[in-house]
Amino acid sequence: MRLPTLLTAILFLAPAGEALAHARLVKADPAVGSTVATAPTHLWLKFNEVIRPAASGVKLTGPDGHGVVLSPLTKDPKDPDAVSAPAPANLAPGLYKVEWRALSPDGHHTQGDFAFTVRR
Amino acid sequence: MNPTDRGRLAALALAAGLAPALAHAHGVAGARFFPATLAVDDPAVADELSLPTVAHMDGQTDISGEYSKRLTSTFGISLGETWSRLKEPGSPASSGFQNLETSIKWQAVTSAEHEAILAFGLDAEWSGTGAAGVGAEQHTTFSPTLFFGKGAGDLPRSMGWARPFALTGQIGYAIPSRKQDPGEPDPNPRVLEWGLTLQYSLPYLQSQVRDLGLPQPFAGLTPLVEASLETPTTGPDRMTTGTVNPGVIWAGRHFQIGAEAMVPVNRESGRHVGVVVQFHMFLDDIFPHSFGKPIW
Repeated sequence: MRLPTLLTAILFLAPAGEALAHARLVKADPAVGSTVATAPTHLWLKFNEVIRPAASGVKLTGPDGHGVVLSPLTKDPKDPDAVSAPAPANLAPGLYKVEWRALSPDGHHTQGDFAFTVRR
Repeated sequence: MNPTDRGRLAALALAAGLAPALAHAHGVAGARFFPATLAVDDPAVADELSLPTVAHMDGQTDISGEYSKRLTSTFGISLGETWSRLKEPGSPASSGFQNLETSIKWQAVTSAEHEAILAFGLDAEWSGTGAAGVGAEQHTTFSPTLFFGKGAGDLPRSMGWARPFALTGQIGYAIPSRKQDPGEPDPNPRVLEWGLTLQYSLPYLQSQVRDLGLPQPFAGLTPLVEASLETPTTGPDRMTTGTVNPGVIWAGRHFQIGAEAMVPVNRESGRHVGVVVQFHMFLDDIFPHSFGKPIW
């Protein structure tokens, strides 16, 4: 097998769930950068590996600049790599910033943030 | 000097120049993942193994490997070796190992908020450990080097499309252990070794800015351009040489694969476009509780 063919094969055979070294966000609901018509009742975050909810956290900052740590952060029973947390009731329209910190079982800390918009 | 000798010397210079450029590391600063770049060493210290890195350009093939180990969370050492094969038109092929390379690096500053890393290192290429026939120097060279990396994640959200960009670079000064090698007509130059990479992280775009729903392998790709250059600051020849490398890196959870073209910046740097590919393992993620963690 020629080298370019081998590299292409490795790329396409790589597990689809793997994104990066350490725990990284691969999916969210509301989606990263999205605009939603109705205020979400929960935030759902899926990572590329299992994280420890007890040592991880999600903070939601609203259009008024007020931030609140979402609790409890629980594992999704249907997806071991995903966690969810309840959102405050009746989120007002506007731009929301989600900041997350994650601890993977191997002890690596990672963090990130993204935004979504609740339509007026 | 006849043209054949000139070609041979150019090949040897290229051999000596290619090998030290193949150094690697990967790192994380906040939401930013800096992949291990192929031509310019990134600023992080890590437990990792690049094996192999294969480069081919103008009749020269280099196959190299490098092992990096963290002693503490911010201080690491590396060991690298390169096997080269040279084949110039009209000359017999020669092959052998380049000089052994070692390095120490201190990741002095890591800012998660600003996605920034600053590191200091000292590279050494040890004389007497490689074959003169493939351009291994007869003298030891020490290169104190500054490394940096900066992600654009702190740009305003209105410039979201630009936030996946990152810039990394290194600037070092290669100092030979003696001024002139026995039997050589020219003195050993001191050389400014400098390089930059400009990266655009699709994983960052997906997880931090906008989920475009990209499938693998595209969701793990980082297109980038690297420039790896050398400028002698002493001696009669002070022309800058090097390559500009457009390419792409795919990063997974435990390994990454990179491929780049090597475009010479001038005739003295090469006559044809080359190629470099690399398989790189994240030992800290493969063996997080044993080989992959700092010793102290």
